[in-house]
Amino acid sequence: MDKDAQMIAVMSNALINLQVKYRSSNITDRMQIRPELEKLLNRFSNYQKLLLQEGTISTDTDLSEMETIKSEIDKAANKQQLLAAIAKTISFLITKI
Amino acid sequence: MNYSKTIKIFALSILFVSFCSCNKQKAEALKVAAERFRNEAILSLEQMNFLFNKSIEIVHHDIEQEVETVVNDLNSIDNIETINAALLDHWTIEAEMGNDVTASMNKEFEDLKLHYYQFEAIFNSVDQGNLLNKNSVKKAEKHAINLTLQLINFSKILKENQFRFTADRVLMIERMKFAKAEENEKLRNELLKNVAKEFVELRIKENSTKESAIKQCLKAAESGRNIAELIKNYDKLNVQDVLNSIKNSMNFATQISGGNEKIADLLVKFESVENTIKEDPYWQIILKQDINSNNN
Repeated sequence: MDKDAQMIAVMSNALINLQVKYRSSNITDRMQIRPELEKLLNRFSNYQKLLLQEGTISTDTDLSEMETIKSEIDKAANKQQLLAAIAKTISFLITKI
Repeated sequence: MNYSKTIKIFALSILFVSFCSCNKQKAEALKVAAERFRNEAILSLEQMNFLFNKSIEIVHHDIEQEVETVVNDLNSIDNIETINAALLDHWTIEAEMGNDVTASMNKEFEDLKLHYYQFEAIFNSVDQGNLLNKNSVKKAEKHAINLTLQLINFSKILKENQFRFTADRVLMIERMKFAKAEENEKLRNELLKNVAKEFVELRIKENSTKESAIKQCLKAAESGRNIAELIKNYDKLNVQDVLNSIKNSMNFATQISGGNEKIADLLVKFESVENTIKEDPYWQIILKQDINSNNN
């Protein structure tokens, strides 16, 4: 188990145990424990997001690049459709001559 | 108009139209491969999102349980002055606890999905501009590889880390404690047996959900690898080659989800795909900058 996996396992168990404790407590204790529970939940969630980011390769720049490629291909499609229409028209006209 | 010139123009026009039609089929096949990649990738991200959410899940009450909690809390309060705005605030926050964390996690995955939607969108009109867009199609290759390697990374993250269903485990512990506290021995044993069975079922469910997400990531990675290869060899392939390549890739994906292969074996197989991509001089030129920056 690497460091990330160990950390996830520790935080996961802590979140489970703290929730069990929280739910079995009276209202006075729950009001005191709640900030701690929220803090742990946020930390755990942020750690998971970091884990996800470690595996992420595609960036915002890539996203813009893909948008640019798409518009290039769309433009090519428009041009080609126009050329095809011209070619068809020529063929049609020639058959009528 | 000169007769032979007319014949030439006519022949060229016919040739142009028929050439367009043949290339169009090839481009349509590429479009189908891109759609397949997007579908598989979105499904894998949804399964991952579910796993991540389950591991940060807070137990929530239904309305009836919430009313019961408030009644119990009110009954337990001795000092009437403590029934105030802060107490009502507490119950409100308690009922909504974890919602913002889940929403934020969902946003992370929605952002990731955008990349796969955008990749597929590149090919929306590829069949209509098949003769003029070769260079642009080639530019999409880098993104196909990056998005594929990303899915392989995600499958490894899933494999290496545990994803417990937190809220289910909390309720499980409560049921175990309840069963253990039963004084009637016969009833206690019955309750313990039931809760033990439920625990084993939960553990199996956690594992199978994780395995399914890993397999889905690998299926998506396979369709990504397929489209990257199709783009790489696009000029050399004919329509039948493209269709065969997609068919072979789909067969392989079916094998992955068939469940006969072990996750560890599948990951080894995809690590070799990853290494091939990273070590192949052809891909290296395309990916050099991205791979280097990712290893930093």
